[in-house]
Amino acid sequence: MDLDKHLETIVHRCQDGERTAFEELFEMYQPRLKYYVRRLDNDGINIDDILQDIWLTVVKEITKLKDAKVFAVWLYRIARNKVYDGFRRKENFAVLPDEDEISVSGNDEPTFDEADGEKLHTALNNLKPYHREVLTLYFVEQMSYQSIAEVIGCGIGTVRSRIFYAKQALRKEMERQNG
Amino acid sequence: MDNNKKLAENLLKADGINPAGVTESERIAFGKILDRQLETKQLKQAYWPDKWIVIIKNSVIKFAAIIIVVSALYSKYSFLYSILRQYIK
Repeated sequence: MDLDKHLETIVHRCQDGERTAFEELFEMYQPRLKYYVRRLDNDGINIDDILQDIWLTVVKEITKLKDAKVFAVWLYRIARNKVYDGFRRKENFAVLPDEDEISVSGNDEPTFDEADGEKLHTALNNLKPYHREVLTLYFVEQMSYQSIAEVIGCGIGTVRSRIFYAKQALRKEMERQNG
Repeated sequence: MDNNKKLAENLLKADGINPAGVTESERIAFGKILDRQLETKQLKQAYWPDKWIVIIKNSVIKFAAIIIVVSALYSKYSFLYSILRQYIK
C-alpha cells in the first residue's frame, strides 16, 4: 500500500473515532510539525502548548475534513493559524511582502545535498520568516508548490518565486557561514 | 532512501528532534487529549444516535417542524377565539 493510500485509511479511521489511528497520525506528523512550528516561532517559549492546541483541534475537527488526501495541507494550515494567532495576541504580527513572480528555470535554482543538513538548519534560522516557512514545508514536508500555496494562502506563482529567492538567500547564508 | 528524505531527517536531527518518533511526554500529553475528546464524542453519540443527528440537522425537516408548530398554535388560538366569541354572545 503506498503512503498516500495508507494515510487516507488512517484519516478515515480517525473520523470513525478510532484511538489507535489518532496515535498513528500523531507519531507520523509530530516530529515534522514540531520542526515547522519552531521555524515559524523562532524564539517561541510555548511551542509545546501550541502543538497541543493544534492536535486538540485535529482531534475535534477531523470529521469535518472532506478529502483525506489533503490532510497534510489541512494540518499545516491549522498549525500556521495557531502560531499566527499567538503573534497577533503578542502584537508581533507583520504582513508578508508579495515577491514579484518570476519565470524560474531549473538551472538557476541552487540545490542542496543531504549532507548539508546541519549547515542548512543553522542557515535556515537566519533567513527571513517567510522564506524560512516555505523552505521548511518544501524540505521537511516535501510538499508540492500547489500544497504550499494552499497552506500559506497565496498563489502558486508567488510560492514558486518565494522558494526561488529563499533558496538563493539560503545558499548565500551558507556561504557566509563557511567564510 | 532518497536525497530529499535524508535531508529532511538531517534537518530534524540538527534541531534535536528524533525523526522516527515522539517523546514520552508528548505521547502522554496527546493521550490525555484523546481521553478527553473521545470520551466526549462517545457521550454525545450515545445521547444522540447518528441517524437522529442527521434527521435534526436536515433543513427540510426543520422547516416542516416549524410549519407544524405554527399551524398547531394557529388552530389552538382560533379554537379558543371561537369559544370566547360564543360566551361573549
